[in-house]
Amino acid sequence: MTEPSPKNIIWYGELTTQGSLMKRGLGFLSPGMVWLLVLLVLPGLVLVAVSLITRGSYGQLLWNFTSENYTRLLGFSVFGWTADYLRILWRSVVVAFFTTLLSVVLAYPLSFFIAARPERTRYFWLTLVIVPFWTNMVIRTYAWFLILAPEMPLAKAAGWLGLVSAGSPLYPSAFAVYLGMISIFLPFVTLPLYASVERLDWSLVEAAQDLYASRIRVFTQAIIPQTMPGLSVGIILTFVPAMGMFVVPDMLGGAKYMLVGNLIQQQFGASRDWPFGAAISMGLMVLTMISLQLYRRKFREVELV
Amino acid sequence: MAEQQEKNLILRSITKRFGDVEAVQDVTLEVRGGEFFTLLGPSGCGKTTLLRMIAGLEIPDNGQVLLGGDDITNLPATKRQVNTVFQSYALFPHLTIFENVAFGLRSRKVANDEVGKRVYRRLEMLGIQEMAQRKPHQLSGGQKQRVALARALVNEPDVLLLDEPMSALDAKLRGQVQVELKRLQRKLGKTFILVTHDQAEALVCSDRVAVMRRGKVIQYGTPEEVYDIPVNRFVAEFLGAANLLTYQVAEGGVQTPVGFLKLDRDAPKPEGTLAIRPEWIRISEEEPPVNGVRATVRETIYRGTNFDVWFDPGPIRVRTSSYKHFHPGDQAWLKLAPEELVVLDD
Repeated sequence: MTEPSPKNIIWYGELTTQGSLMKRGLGFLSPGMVWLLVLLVLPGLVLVAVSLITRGSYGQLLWNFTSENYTRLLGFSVFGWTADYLRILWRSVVVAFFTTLLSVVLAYPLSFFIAARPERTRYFWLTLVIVPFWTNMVIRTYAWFLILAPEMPLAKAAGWLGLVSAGSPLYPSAFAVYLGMISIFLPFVTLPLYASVERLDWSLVEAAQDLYASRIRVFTQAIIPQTMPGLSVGIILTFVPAMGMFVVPDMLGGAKYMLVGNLIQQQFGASRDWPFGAAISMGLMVLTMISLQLYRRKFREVELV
Repeated sequence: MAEQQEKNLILRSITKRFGDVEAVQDVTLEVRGGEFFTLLGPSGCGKTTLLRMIAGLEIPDNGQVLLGGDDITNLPATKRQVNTVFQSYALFPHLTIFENVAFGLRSRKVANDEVGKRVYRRLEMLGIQEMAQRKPHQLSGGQKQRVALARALVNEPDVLLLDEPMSALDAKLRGQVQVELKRLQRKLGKTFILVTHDQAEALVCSDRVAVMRRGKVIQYGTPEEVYDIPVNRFVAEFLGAANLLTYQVAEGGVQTPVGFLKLDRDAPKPEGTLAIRPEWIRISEEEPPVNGVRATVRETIYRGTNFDVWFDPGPIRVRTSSYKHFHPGDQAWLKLAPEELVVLDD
């Protein structure tokens, strides 16, 4: 009779050892790791490096290390201090925040509506939410041009109410940017939120009602904590890309409503100022990280275990 | 003395339909203030629906719910002085035990130190004060159940509703908790309404039981009344075990598959069913003076506290003490005493 080696373990019905499991795991893991390393970490490091060098007069990269790109982002230049870039950064945070907030506000009733449909029609409604994914974002954004054009009822109504001068379109404007952004991000919030709402334990809602909770209290204490997993995914999937969005503000906001995404695009494109573009990108990344950290801290309390 | 202040709960001709299904059909019940009342029945009998209408979580299609004389039929759950212990406890997973228990008081904006005092009093009464700062997932099933009880009781409800509160506990703990629940109710003198499909639980806990089936109350009374004098086959078999014997009226008694039997009263119908509990049948060596049945042991089943012995003819099931051993083929006299034979309605 052989003593079983202490290293032998049974793993899903298979006799193996800790070491060979580890090897196999690494084997499966490495392609993904290499992918991330080559396509995320290395370009990231390049971006950091580029943000610390200077631009030649024709846009070429000169390897003179400097922090000038960052001081410029903070608004300092030979002409003194200006808040222009900081204002754009801040505006991006605000737009991303409100886009996320409004998307969440719209996604909750939508998710409950879909979850309450009978099984047969539920997938029809879900498909309606998903359909925009099948359409190119640029095309969808162009569609807003049509809807907001001066000849269309929306612009006419706004002109009649005196919100815009009669005969002018509703774009470019902050309103148009929000409209475009929310229409793009609403499915990103709705789908994960719906997944949570569908699995909602209604007995918690009833318990809250049984314990005299007001409607608001039922929502904050019985519904939000339960839908937090889906809500978190939706918020992050919306807020992070919304921070860097440039197609929508470019088309619907124009020069009037520039966001950091447009600024970065401009530096890497028309201005041919890669180092400054890289510095702004770093600034955007830091801001995004700070926002997510703040979010995490605020909502750690209600996260389910 | 507390019992005199407790309000009576009256259900008057309550009907509730879900689509084509009548979940509750014309139920009228009176629950006296301060009593432990149980709605007993198999799953789908409408007992939970009835409870939910008392809680205000469903509105009846017909009928009235009266609490202390006030019509609360259409009052939503948030406005009723009635609290529920839910089947799965429905504790808020993101809140501590303290905050779970405090939930109702916080909803009513009770002052902070008052909340602390009242919550701790309930937690102590139920022996879970050390759990105050834990989260529900850190508690065992029994502890969660206590939290759910504390959370309901801290609001001083006129009526406490318990929706199968013990179904998630293991058998041993369930037995213990049944007794504790009964003691707690006696101590507080509050009206408890329990919903259960477990007949043992109903017998242990209740002052009165209503046996429900298919949306209707079949019988109600004290546990002894319902157990000793079941009205029909359903009640006889649902509460405990029963031997059912069909009968035809004969001269001086009735004729049954096991022979001629005398009753202590006249049978109401020319034919029907008799019931006798296995533990009411006596076994003897000599022929008893009345209602003796000569029987042969078919099978014995050991149950720890007793034997269940199945006799032919019948078969008749008899519960015997566990020190007396029978073997298949043994013969004995069974005494089906007239006063132990219950004539059923169906």
